[in-house]
Amino acid sequence: MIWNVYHLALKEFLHLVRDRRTLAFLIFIPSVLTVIFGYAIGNPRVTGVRTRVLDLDGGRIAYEYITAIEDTLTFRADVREHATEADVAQAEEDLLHDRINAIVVLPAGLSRALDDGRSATVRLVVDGSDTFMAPTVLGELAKTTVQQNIFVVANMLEREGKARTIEEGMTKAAPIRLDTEYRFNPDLKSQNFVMPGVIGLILQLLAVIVMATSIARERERGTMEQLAVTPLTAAEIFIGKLVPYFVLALLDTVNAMLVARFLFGVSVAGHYPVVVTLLVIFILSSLGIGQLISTVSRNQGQAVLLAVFYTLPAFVLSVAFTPIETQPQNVRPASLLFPLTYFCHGFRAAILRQASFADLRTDLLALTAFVLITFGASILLLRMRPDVR
Amino acid sequence: MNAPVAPGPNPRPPIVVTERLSRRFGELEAVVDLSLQVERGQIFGFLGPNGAGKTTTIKMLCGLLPPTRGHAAVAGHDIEREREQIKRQTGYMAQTFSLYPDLTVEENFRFFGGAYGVSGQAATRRMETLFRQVELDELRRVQAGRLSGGMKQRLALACALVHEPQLVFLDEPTAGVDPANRQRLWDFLYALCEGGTSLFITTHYLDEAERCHAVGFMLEGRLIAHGEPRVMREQLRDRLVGVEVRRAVDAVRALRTVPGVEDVNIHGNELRVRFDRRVECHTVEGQLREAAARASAPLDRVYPLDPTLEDLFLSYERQRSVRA
Repeated sequence: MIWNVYHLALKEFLHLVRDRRTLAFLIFIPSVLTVIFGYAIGNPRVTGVRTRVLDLDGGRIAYEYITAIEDTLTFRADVREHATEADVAQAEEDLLHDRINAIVVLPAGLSRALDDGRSATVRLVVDGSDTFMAPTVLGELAKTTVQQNIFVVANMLEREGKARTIEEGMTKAAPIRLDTEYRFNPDLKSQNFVMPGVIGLILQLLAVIVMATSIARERERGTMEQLAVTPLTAAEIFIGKLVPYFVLALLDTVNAMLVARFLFGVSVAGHYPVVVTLLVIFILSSLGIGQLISTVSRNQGQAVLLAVFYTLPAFVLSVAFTPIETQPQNVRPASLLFPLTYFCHGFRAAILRQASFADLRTDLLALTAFVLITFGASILLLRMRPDVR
Repeated sequence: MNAPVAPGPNPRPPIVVTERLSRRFGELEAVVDLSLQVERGQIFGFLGPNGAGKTTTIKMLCGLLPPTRGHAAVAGHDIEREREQIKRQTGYMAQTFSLYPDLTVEENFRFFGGAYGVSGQAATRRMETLFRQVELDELRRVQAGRLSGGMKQRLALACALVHEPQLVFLDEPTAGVDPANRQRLWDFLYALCEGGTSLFITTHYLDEAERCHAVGFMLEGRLIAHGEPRVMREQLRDRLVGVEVRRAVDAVRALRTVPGVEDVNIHGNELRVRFDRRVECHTVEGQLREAAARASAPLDRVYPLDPTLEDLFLSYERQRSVRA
């Protein structure tokens, strides 16, 4: 048994070594991807939204409101003082032609109305075709508006003698305070969230696609038939083929983690046995899925297509780069179908929160189930029809 | 006090026995009721056109494909229940080159050795013996993909023989191999056979079938004849006449209308005329000349011919298509 696996694993190693170019790709591409993804995928933050601010009021409160808008990173404000209705029409035109993303209109008489204790309406028009940007713009301006409201009220309280200073007026206007803190990632460094996703995604991509072609290639070349007439069992063939790619995936993991450590400062704060166990089971589950794809494919083309059809939804539906909370409620259960989901969740917890085996019970059990199911199904299929052509 | 059991009438049972072995793929009946015996220590030629069911039969006998009906035993083991034993006692050389082109000659050999449980010193000894016999000694470090067709064939054969099997299946071993290399391969196969290995060879080259100890003809999934080539050829004795003529194409059309003529085929300067019954050359010569003369294609010479397996095979195919 062990010798048979050894002979197969040795053969697969030789295949890997003979194909120098592919081997180089397999070793270096994951590190390169880690670098690219590490820089490209930050916290999804909207900044520099092209905003036309039209001041039809010209008063003090309008001036302060505009200053507050200019102070945020969200907006890149193009302020038009002494604006007219013609400017509003022009802004609408510019919005239509995507020269700006948003319009803020401060109506005439705004400052006077507020000074008189009446209400006034600021109008915001946002390009809704970008569903990611629009709500952020709205939220950011709402925050600014709340802040300005507090100022207006505080000023009024002070003027009317109900507060001795503006500060006291502000306390009276907004008595509830908020004390916030980001735990485990105090600086909210995006790489701490992104890197586990990147590592998981790369390992999955590599393991699934490379493994998917292995048995399919033997079928395509007709060598599967030659293997099938030897006394080698399906399980021996399965494991023998898995070993070299497992080692390769481990090597890539170390590479990617070194990049994460030295380029992005993402270090493992957790317990190594937990981290390693999680990585090993995740790699095995990805290889298992690759093998399963391989056993149902007649040739390498089919295998690669199937592998891509698997890894693309995994990219979107798992929680590699976006929290599950960003997905629509009815789609969320789909994320449970991808080992990547459990790995990213577990890996983040393991390296940032020092999670223990007990903490990650669910993730580890789910990944183990993937391993058992894919391994079992592959071996069974391989035994039933070794040389489907 | 039991006396030793006297050896039966046949101390060496056949290496392959099949009994109404059948395989269908959906609607297609690839092999139908194949009942066959292959004697130990012989070269058995399994003949038939492409799609006749030869490869399907081999795959069933190797344990690669379960039969849909019937039974078979290879080296005394049931092909369905004792696949493990069969795999250890048989070798298989596939129709297409199916070794690893990126591995060297030696690496390929050692891998398949390992797969059959022959490794280390034993593998080295076996490799030295086999590589000397098939003349691959100097090519050990060459990648298999760089070998010529004949060399690949010899390497595949060496790999199929690594575990000293009792029986080797060779599926179209000489397809696409040049005559000199084909001759070398046959020399090696005879040597192998004399060493006690049984060989089961499929081919559609009928001249090669003449080299086998016994042959079986497959047509549309059915075994239509089997036996020793010499005996089988005799079935056509006195049914073949050779004709020399200049306007061959016209002559063929004319001669096919003569009563009793089963078929006429052009072989270079010669026409081979086959009758559906035994005839004397001089009694039919008149009819043939008369028919040819009417078509303005006068015959130069008419003479008796020795039958070949090809004639026999064409005759079987003809009878079959006429019946259909």
